[in-house]
Amino acid sequence: MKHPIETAAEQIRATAAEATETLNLGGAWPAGLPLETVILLTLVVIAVIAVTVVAGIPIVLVLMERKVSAYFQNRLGPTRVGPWGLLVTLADGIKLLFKEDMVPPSSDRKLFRLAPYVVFAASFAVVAVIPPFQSTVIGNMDLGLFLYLAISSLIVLGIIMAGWASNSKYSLFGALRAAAQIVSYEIPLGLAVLMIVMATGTLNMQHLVMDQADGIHAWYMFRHPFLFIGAFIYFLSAVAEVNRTPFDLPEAESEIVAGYHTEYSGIRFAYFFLAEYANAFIVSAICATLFMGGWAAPFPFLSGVPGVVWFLGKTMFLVFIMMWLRWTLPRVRVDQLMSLCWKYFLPISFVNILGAGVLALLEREEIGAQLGGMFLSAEAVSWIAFPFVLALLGWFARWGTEPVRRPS
Amino acid sequence: MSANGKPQTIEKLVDAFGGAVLHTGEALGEWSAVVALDSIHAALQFLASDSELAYEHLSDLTAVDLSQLNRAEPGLDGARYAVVYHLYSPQNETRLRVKTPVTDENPTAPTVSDIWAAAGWAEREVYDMFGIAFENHPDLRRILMPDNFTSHPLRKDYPTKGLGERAAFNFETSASNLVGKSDSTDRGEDAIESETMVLNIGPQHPATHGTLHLEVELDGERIVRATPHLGYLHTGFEKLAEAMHWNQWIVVTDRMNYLSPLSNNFGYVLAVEKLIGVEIPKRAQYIRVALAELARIADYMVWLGTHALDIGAFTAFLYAFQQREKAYEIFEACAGARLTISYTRVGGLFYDAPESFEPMMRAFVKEFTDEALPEIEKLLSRNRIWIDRTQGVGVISAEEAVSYGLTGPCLRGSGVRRDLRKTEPYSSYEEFEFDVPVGASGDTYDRYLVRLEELRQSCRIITQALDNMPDGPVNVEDHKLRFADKSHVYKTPDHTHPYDPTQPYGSIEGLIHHFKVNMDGHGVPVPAGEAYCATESPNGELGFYIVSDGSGTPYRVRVRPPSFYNYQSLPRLLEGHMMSDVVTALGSLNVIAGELDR
Amino acid sequence: MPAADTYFPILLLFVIAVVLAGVILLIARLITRFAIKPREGEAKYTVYESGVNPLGDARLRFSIKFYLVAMIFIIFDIEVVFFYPWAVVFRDMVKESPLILWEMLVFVAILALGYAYVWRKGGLDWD
Repeated sequence: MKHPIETAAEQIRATAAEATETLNLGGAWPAGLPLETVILLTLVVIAVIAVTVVAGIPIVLVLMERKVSAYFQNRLGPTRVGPWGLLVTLADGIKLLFKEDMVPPSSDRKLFRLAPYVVFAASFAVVAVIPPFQSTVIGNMDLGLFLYLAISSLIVLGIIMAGWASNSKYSLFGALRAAAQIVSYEIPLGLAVLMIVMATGTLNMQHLVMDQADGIHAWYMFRHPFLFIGAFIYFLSAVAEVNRTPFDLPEAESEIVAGYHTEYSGIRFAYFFLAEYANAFIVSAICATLFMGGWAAPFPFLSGVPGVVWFLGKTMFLVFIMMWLRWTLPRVRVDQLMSLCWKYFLPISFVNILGAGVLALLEREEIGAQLGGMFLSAEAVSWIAFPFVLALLGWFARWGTEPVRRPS
Repeated sequence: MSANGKPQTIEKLVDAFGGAVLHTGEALGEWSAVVALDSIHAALQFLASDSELAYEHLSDLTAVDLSQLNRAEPGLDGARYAVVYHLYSPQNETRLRVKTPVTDENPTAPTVSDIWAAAGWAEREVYDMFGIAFENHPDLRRILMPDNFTSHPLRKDYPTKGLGERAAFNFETSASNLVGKSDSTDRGEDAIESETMVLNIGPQHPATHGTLHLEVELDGERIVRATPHLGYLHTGFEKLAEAMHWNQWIVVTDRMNYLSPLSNNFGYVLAVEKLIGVEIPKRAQYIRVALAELARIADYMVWLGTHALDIGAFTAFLYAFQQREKAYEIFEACAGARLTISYTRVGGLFYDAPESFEPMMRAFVKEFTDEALPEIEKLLSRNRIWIDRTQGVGVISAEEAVSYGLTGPCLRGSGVRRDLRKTEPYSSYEEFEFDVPVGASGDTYDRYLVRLEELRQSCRIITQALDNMPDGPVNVEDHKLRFADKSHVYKTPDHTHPYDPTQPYGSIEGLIHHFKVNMDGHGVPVPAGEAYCATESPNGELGFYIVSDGSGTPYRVRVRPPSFYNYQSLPRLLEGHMMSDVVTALGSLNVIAGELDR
Repeated sequence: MPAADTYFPILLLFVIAVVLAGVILLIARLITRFAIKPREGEAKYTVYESGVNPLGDARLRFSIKFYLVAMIFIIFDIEVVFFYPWAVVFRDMVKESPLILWEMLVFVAILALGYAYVWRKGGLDWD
């Protein structure tokens, strides 16, 4: 079987040959080029576009964050640079570009310089696995989901490098916190993703989306209650993975100043900053793809709208929720963060997986029939359980906060 | 009080110590006793532990340099210094001032930090400022001045302008008061334990509002030891007072607790008025009360905002600051300034409150109680993370809180129902109806809830003050105290108008009046004597101990800064907690660097 | 054919991101080299410690807690990795026989035992 990319490259070569002929450019370029070269060129072009687009996303997100926070706080946010303050992040970027590239002499210079690249490159490479629209090329990898988990783990490496190399106590603190936090939350995150794999039997993100393309009821999030909880755990773990409030301990300003990037300035700082927002976008995009149907339209009659619109819409919605959380909640403490992960998310995730397995077992007709037919069918169980799950989540959120002690 | 007019305290003290009590006396309703230096520790121990007297609370500990005092203090003959202890007995609601003579040849006194934990820093400050060494003090280091400072600034022979230390100041050597890692720490036999890290939090740190400096030793995230370092904002306010007129120093009080300047103005002029023995008009008292409560609201708003910000809730911070801005608008309408308002004067107020005062206040109170406060509460009070972060953090028991000299919301958070507005009402506070909320467990969450409830009570007081606001003047009629009306002082185009108090024109008589009240060697006539006057400022007991020698300037002004005593308990609050709790506990104390370092 | 390899784009993105970062940094360095004269100063090059001279070095033995977390992570993360091949075939296999679920149940039970042990030992408490 031909790989889809080869098909695409052949098409490109054919189109190019046709164009060369019609425009009468003469010569055989690029029709004469070997297929490999064309493929490589195609990929490079796609990759450059991807990197540029992804590098542009944080710029939009930073502006969005400022505006969202402003409206949450009865302010206007940036209004001066460009209409409605649209260009303010660009101005910030230019400012950072003009800053001196400073490396503290007491730092481990090589590591200090390398760290931003690792963080930057790792967060950008993840983009390759995400399908922003229906395509045989982009995001169509058989191990996509697994690669996402693998490559995103690289980020923590860069963070530890940065913290250690800085030779500042605040940086070290930030790095160690980041290490403990990101590493811990990777487990519930991985287990939540595992449930998706169990339900579909594939790690290919394009296939995952196609499996959910029927509409909102087909979204994995709403397949059954265990997956709903899984989506919940995935999202919260993802918030912790990208160090955003309430889990922003590695850069908790009021405690450890700026955490692992305390000593960074200028454009190197900008890399961390960009990577942070790129990560927020990427985890949201993956959450949207895994649990909310990715580029698929929520209702069949809306399928005329381009997939990329749905993809971006869902992702931005999740990003907005992240911002909403950030501007509403205080920060948790490190022991609370850890116990949330190890003592709540982890066991819940395991129970979730077992529950999903049992449900899958019930889906088998003969067993379902044995157990009483319709009454215990998987779907019925799901829909009966949903309100209970929601109530459970609500109860958990409010647990222990009542009653408020009124001083007398 | 017994038959011969002497209170039980004095009698019991004389009974117990006889000849060691060199003098007892009463002035301006305050009893004081002079106890010989060799019996002072035993006498104070007796006062603190006697079950009938129970002076559990060391309000303040300070000293006075008597070398230039133009009168002989009874019982203090031949002494260069007097160490002054202000005690308070919550049980009997009585105060007592105890002094002990300290000679120039041997400036030492026994420490009382074993009786009251509050004395620890206060004695360090006396050591720093007067050079009086306290024997057996656990940690007698300079506290406000740098370690390499050689003089003792509050001694009378030290010039106000200094001895050129500023020019010779060296940051490197001045930083030497860091404690560093103590080598003596016994780590036991387990040699593989991890190293501890010594980390400086502050003076330039996002969570140490102002210039607090905390040196913490950490084992991972856990705090092994926390040592606060003070003095970054030390400005010598007390020394300045000795060279300023009575009214002039009001401006300096603004700079102490700069979140609620009016409370400082208020406390200071009350102390001066107590010395003079003047009662100011009711209207002025009511306006002062209303504005003091508004200042409390503004202060708490900054506290709440920064406290929430430190714990990571940024939005609550801006919500709170919005309310503070609105409060400042009212101050601006009254005094013309927003932050350093200097609104009070000895004998009244700078100006009468404007027409818009009442509607502005009412609108503010309505919006604050109906919208702003519930909104902030909704964000925090039942927020799971907020509760987890604050409950059980920085717990201090009632006994310890009293011993550490905590006052204000920090004390009430531990369940001690003590509010100077109730126990020693001043400025007509006895005419207002309000509750004093107390917490249950003394943790950060309790201090938070107590402050929130106090905000509501403050609004109640403001509403009552507005409802019952009397008419009339806002200054005493005594022209020796009140300022000449500005309109009588300024030059008019033709200089021809005769002095007429009802006419707003400048005149030579107006100018003379102004001169007599304001200028060097004239000024407000304050009789010789001493007074301690405490008010319930937002952070707690703000006391002014003033010694006057009858001249145009104070002889000695001592501020009892609530932040100073509250901050002292921080290492205790942080025992066994984590790095993140530093900011939580610090925020709950609401330490104001200006007031702390003065 | 290496270029057609599905995972090549990831490497490519990685390289391009690094190149992009390098180019931007180069521009920044050129700007600071030729357009701006950096100010010199001793304090500028000291590491930040709240505005005072740092006490001691930041490179020290650190609390065991952080390593403990790392170790527990490694154990659990590897278990999660073991789950993946199982999960991929789960949907198809379960249709034939429920055995695949019971097998995993045994695995999870062993893991849960270890988890309970770690919890009991206080390995999950941060202090």
